Parts: sequence; structure tokens; C-alpha cells
Amino acid sequence: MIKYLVISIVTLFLMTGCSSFTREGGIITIRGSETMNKSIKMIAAGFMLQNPGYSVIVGGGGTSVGMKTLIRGEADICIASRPIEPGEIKELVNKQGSLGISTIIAKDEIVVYVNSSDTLDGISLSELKQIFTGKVVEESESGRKLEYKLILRSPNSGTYSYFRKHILENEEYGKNSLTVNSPNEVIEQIVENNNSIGLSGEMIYGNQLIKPLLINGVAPGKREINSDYPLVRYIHFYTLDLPEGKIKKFLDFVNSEPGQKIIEQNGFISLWGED
Amino acid sequence: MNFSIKLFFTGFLLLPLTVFTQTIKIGDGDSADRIFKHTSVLAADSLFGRGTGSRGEKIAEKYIIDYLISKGIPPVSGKSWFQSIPLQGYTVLDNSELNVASISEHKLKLNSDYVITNSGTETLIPSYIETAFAGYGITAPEYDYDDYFEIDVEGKMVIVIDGEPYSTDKSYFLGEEASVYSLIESKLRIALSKGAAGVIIIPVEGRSGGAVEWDKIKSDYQFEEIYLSSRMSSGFGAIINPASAKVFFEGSGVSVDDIYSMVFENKVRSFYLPAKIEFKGKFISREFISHNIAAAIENLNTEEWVILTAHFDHLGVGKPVKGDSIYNGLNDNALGVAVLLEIAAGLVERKSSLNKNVLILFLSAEEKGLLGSKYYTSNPIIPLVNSSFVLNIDGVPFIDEPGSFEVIDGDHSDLRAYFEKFAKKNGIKLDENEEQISHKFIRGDHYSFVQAGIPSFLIQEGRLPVNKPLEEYTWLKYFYTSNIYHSPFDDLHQFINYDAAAGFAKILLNFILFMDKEVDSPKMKRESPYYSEYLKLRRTN
Repeated sequence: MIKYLVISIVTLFLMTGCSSFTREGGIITIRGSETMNKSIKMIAAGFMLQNPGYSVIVGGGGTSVGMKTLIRGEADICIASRPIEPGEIKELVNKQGSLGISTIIAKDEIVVYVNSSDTLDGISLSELKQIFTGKVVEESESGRKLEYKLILRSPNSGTYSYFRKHILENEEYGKNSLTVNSPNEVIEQIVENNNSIGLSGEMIYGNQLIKPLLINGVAPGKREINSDYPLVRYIHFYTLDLPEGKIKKFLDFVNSEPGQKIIEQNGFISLWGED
Repeated sequence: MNFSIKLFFTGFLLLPLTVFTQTIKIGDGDSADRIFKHTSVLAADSLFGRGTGSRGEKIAEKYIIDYLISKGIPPVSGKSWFQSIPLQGYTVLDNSELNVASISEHKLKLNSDYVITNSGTETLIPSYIETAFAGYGITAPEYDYDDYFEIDVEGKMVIVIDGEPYSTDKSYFLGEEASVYSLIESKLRIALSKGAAGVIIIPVEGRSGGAVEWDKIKSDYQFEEIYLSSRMSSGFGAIINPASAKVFFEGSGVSVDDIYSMVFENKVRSFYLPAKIEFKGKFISREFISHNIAAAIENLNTEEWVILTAHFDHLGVGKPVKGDSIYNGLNDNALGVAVLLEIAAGLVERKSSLNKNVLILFLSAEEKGLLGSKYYTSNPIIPLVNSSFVLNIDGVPFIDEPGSFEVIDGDHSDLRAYFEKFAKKNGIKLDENEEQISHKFIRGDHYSFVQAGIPSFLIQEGRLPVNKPLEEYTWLKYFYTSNIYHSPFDDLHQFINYDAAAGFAKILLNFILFMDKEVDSPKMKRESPYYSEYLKLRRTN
């Protein structure tokens, strides 16, 4: 993986050339979504190679933490895997005098995983809501009772909040659950627990120990912008103002072909592939 | 060699010379014919109303570029014809649910009871939240006015009435003119800044406080909503059919008629409502790239640029009216594009005598909220500080040759003074006692440029005609505004006086040539709220 990352960055560097080296610079601080953390770190590395005067510091913690740092004026960009909440807007206005600007940079499928030993292949959105609110669901074909241990991300994560609002319709998650911080830990727990179910904002290929579920009969991972897969959300950059200066420069790089390629390579859906 | 072959070869040999040396007259009968030809293509049904991001818009792009090439007008040096604009669009589906629970439960229906605006595909209120009535939904410290003073709307849905406090005093909410506070966007932003989940607006008919025609509102909001990929945080935004608004006031002791009376009697107040609301939106969305088209008549001896703009998009395809679903947008703004193509052709022939550069900019997504021009000012092709002024062409005389003209500069700059000087010199009459109506000014692409600190304006036909009786001329203008504008009938079947359009092109061309000789550049006025942007451009460069 590291080898792949280095190759990507070097390719990027070669594609964009040395001629655009400039003396301008600055520090760009980014906090927020763990889901996008790896992609943004790779994009930041490519950006810094092309623009040696700039330092991009990428931190995670989840969307809520990213929002708090933006509100405190400690971050230039919050990466968010859910839209800003009304209470956060109010705080942003009170502390920074801004409603916040959202820039969409990618689309992301929320993938539901079970252990690969599980016989379940697919589920409907309404069954998903029942399982994640702690109810026992009977599988229509086999009559098997689906009762899972929920592997949840921290409440600070955008995936946690987005799923609760959009799928659970604001109901609480079921009590039979284990909370972990990172997306990788969700997968580790599903591998270790046969009867567990969890969410990830990333389509994982090549892991034989987990199984992504079809939702409403549609498989995730097609990475098509107009796919019928029902659990699709936007990834946002939140800033205080319309992007300008160093932030715009970085955003332009994210939206450029090399930037969007990294996003795609990490399992997300590029928004601006075709012109 | 027969005659026709000879003619073919002679023509072939002369072609390059023809392109660059033939003098075309702007404003004569041939000019009118060219404008007719441009509009016949751009407003044809085959372009399906040139909706933003549609195939019809792409065909229009190609037509514009082909014509520019044929006249020897290139893109800005080293750049593409296209400025790519990343956009996001959404359409609300009929199976969306807006439910109101008070004494009884009400399931409101999209379009017949409400329309959605200024929201987003991720807008969702999955469980019931509380509501409050917040008057006009305005907090305006400069007018000592606050509809939110006595209510806390955090986490609540806010119900407001359209408009703003009425006054004849120009120093209070701009008097009878609509101020920025009457815009839906302003009401939504103010509500969001208070922590509200969104805003539902009850439309009212001006000062009378009566209900507006719902069909008109429904028609205006039937199209896909489109936004730039970078946009202000959004919440839930809707306009409610006044006939359905009573569900919000059930059990409150206040009726919708009481609200109208409050408006009429200047007694608008805010209060909590017993109703609760949820919204389960269903959307289809798309992300796509649209284009501004930029061409240049360059002069390497100066960095100063004059910018001429016309938007080439229109509404696209919508709900049929009398069997016609194509909103062709002939006047709005195929005719403006045709006039700009004509002016560009006139300017390129005078290139060697021009003192300044001219940027010819065809803008996209104007109908979706001036998005093409907003994107341009955030991503300028020419440094903003080098942009002397902008003349926007959107509204070309088509009924009769104008006997007078209206200069719409919103009082932001001294452009009117320049045009007055030009008009005086050329015997052109301007409307007298013309008021700068801000809501008229903010509805065109020129507004985006003013907001960026660049003097910008629009010239339109005035109150007086040359040939038609005044009464008939005035009535025809009114008829267009009320019945044709933004309808499928703004198409090639209507009467267009192409000679008037050609005459207009000539006047604008002469004005550009007049400005080309001016040593000083137009300036923003100190009184303009965007004067600071004008200064900022000059300080940072």
C-alpha cells in the first residue's frame, strides 16, 4: 500500500511537472472526517510536492471534531461526511461571523459489512433501520432471525450521524453495540465477530473475511455517479469563506484530475470526471 | 472552367481576406438580418430552451464559438474558449413528504401545497420539530428591527411572511423599493444563523396583504435547482401555498387572514406555534460541468480590459403551457447574445484602432442565480483589477426603436455619468427621473461584477418609443412582462423588431468605442456597499 501511495505521488508529481514550483506558501490546517482522512493525506502529499512552499496538516477525529475546530478558528477546512447541522451553523455565526461555505468534493457510498461467514447477502433499507435500532428482523427467505452486534463509529463521526439521521430517522442505535473510532477498527471487529454488522464509508476490495451487503438489491462499489445504490452521500469541505488564496489553491488541486484520481483510487466517487 | 466553378475558386482565394477585411456595418438592415439569423438558431425548439447543463446549451456554445471563429475572434491568449463551472443540480420528487401535526395531521403535497427552494439533496427533517412564526424573518440592526428578538428558534422550523416592513421612507428598508432583506436567501440565512432548521415562506401580494397567484409561483419553481459546487450552508427552504398555510396556525388562535391584517396594519409580531413539522425529501441529483465562453479582442499595449457580457442559457424544458413545453428564451437572452455577437464582429474590425482590450463573455447559468458570473468573479480570466467596467446585455429593444434609454447601474458607480456624456454627444435621450430600483439591478449578471468591486451596468429601452404610439408601446411592454417573459411563448412566433435590436447594437458599439478613448476608468461610488471590494482590488495589487 505504501509503495502504491509513493508511486501515485511520484506519478502525480511527474504529471504536473516542476515548472509550477513557486515561492508562495503557507500552512493549511484540515480536520474532520476519518472516512476521507487517508485520501486527503495522499492529496495533501501530492499538493505539497507540487507546491513546496505549502504545508498541509491533515487531522482526523471525525466530522463533529472538524466542525468544532473550524468554529474555534483552529482549522482552515473541515472535511465533513455529513452536512453541517443547524446548531453548528449558529455557533459558527456567533464565533466566526460566517454561515460556513460547503464545497462538495466527492460522493461516498456507505457500505454495510457483515462477517464473510454470514449467509446474509442483502437487506432492504427498512430492515437495515430495524437492525440498527436493535430490533430482531426475520429474513424473508430462510426465516432466520437476524440479530446482530452493531459495530459503530464514534458519535463524533459523520458516518454515525448521517446514518442515524437518514436511515434511522433520528431513532437511537440499538444497545447491543460496540463503539470504535476508526473505519479500520470497524472492519477488524467484524472480522473477529461472526455475528456483527457495521458501516464503512469505504468500499474495501480483496478482504475475504468481510462481506458487503446488497441494499435494496443493489451492490455497492460500482462507483458510478448515478448508481441506484441507496446509501450515497456527499463529502464536503467546509470553510469560513468562499475559497480563496491558499485554500482555493488546495481545493483546485483536489478538483484537478490528479486529485480526483486519488479520490477514485480510495473508493470514492469522483464528481468532476467528465467535462 | 464554367462560371460557377470560377466563382467558387475566386471566393475560396478571397475567403481569408473577406473574413478580416470586409467592413460590416452594425445597425443597418444586414445587421438586423444577422441578428435574426443568430436568434433563429439560438431560440429554435431544437435547442430545447438552452437549459443549464443541457444538450441544447452545448449546441448554443458551438454556434457561438463557430461564429466567433468565422469573424477571426480568438479566445484569450493561451486559454481555452471555455471556463468550466462545476455545478450541482437537484429535482424534488413528488413522493417527498412534508407533514404538519397540530390539532390534526396534514400531509402536504409538493406543488399543490408547497414548493422547495434553496435546499439541497441531503435536506431531511426525519422526525417532528417545533415551529415558530417569525414575522418577516428579518434581523436588521441598522433599522432597529428584529423579528427574532422575542423568540428562540434553535432547532425549530420558522414560518415567515414574504417581503419586509413597509414604509415610504427611503431610509427605512429602502422605502417602497424592495431591499435585500426581502429576498428568500436573506430570510433563510438569517434563520440559519439563529440555529433554525429552515424557513417556510407565506407569499403575500405587496401592500394589500392578500394572497398571490399560486400557479405563477408553482411555474417559477418547477425547474431543477442548480448551485455552484461551493455554496453557503443551506437548510430547508419552502414556499407554501397561502391556501394551505392555515395548517401551521391551527390551535394558535391566529389565522392566515390575521397575518395578512398584521402586514396591512404594520403590526407584525413573532410567536411560537403549536404545529410540528417533518420533511422526508426525495431527490434526484446530478453533478456536472457547464461553461462560460470567453473571447478576446486583445491589445498588447495595455492591461486594461472592458468586459461585455450576455448570458446564453435559459430555462430549458418545463411544464407545458397550452401544449408548449420549450421555454425558448428568445428575448431572454438569445437576442442579447445575438447583439453581443454583432458588437464583437464590429469591434474586431476596429481592432487596430482600439486602445483597450475587450473581453467578450457569454455566461451560463444566469437563470439559476447568476451562477456563471459569480463563478467568473471568483475565478477571473482577466485579473479583476484590470477589468475597467462591465456592460451586460440582457434585455434588447424588440418592440420599437427606443426614443429613450434606461441606464441601470444601481447607483453603485459613475457609469451613468459616462453614458450621459456619450448620449448627449450623440443626441440620445435618457429617461428622466429614473430611479435605480435595486431589485431590478440585482437580477442580472452585472450584479455579480459589482459585488466583486467592478463598475457594471445594463442599458435597456426606456419609456419612449420612436414609431409606435406611447400607449400601445407601454401596453406591449407590460404584456411581454406579464404574459411572455419566462414562458414558452418567448419564442420565434412572437413579433420582434430586428431593426430596433440592430440599432441598439450600434449604440452599444459606439458607446464602447467612446469609452475606449476615455483616459480615466469608471469608478465605484463611495456610497456603494461594494466600494470596499473596489478598494480591496486596488490595495492587493
